Amino acid sequence: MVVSRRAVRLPGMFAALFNLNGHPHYVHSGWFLISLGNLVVVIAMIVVFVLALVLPFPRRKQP
Amino acid sequence: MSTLEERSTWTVRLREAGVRALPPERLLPDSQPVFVSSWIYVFGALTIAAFAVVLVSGAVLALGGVGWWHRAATGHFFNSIHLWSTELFFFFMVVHLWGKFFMAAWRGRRALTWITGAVSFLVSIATAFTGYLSQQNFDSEWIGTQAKDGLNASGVGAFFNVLDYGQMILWHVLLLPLLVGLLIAGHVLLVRRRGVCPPLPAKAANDGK
Repeated sequence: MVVSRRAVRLPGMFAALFNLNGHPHYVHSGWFLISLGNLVVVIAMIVVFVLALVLPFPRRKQP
Repeated sequence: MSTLEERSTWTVRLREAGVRALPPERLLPDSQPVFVSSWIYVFGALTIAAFAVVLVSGAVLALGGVGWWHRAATGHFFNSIHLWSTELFFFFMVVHLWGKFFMAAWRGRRALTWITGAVSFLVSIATAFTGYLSQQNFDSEWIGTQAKDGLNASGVGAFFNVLDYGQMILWHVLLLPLLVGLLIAGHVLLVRRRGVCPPLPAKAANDGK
């Protein structure tokens, strides 16, 4: 497959931060098994959910 | 035509029923109750915004044709937009679902609003599943071969064959997005009709004493 240099540059840049070509990582304890990527997303959703409950919502000042 | 004859046509009856169910000021309101000023109420709208990006990026991919995302940098770019907007769509939808679940948002004759939301979540999973089957790579091959046994055992394999690429991509680009879109539209109209669910009432300090 022919891939242009431009197509490789951007993924290459992010590959320095996240290696997506390696073996996947899993968190495993007894019956509990989840990929690290899915675990990160679940934790991020819980964090955003809690922040949405506690952070004040900007309101217009009453004239 | 007399007034009596006008009222007997199905178009007039449909229009009047529509206006009765959703008057213009309720369909497109200019204000909301004060409790809506909370971040937890934002995630439904964010889900719809992400869905719009999913549809637009999917339409661009359809213009390029199947396999475009493997051959060209632009196709790869729109494929990534399609993937990440889908990720955000589910992210926002799950936070919205959690918020509404803990708020018991089916209160006050809002059961159908809750049901359409829950069903649209399930149909969205099926839509994403057919998308993963349409990737044309080893990942889609793996997912298809792993899924076929379970689906065939359930009896749906006769008309939903996960190893049939043509069938899966047509479900993905037409049937399932159409169903998700209709469910979301119905869900939003029900929210307009019944109003946004208020928070659960706070308990007084001496409740139960």
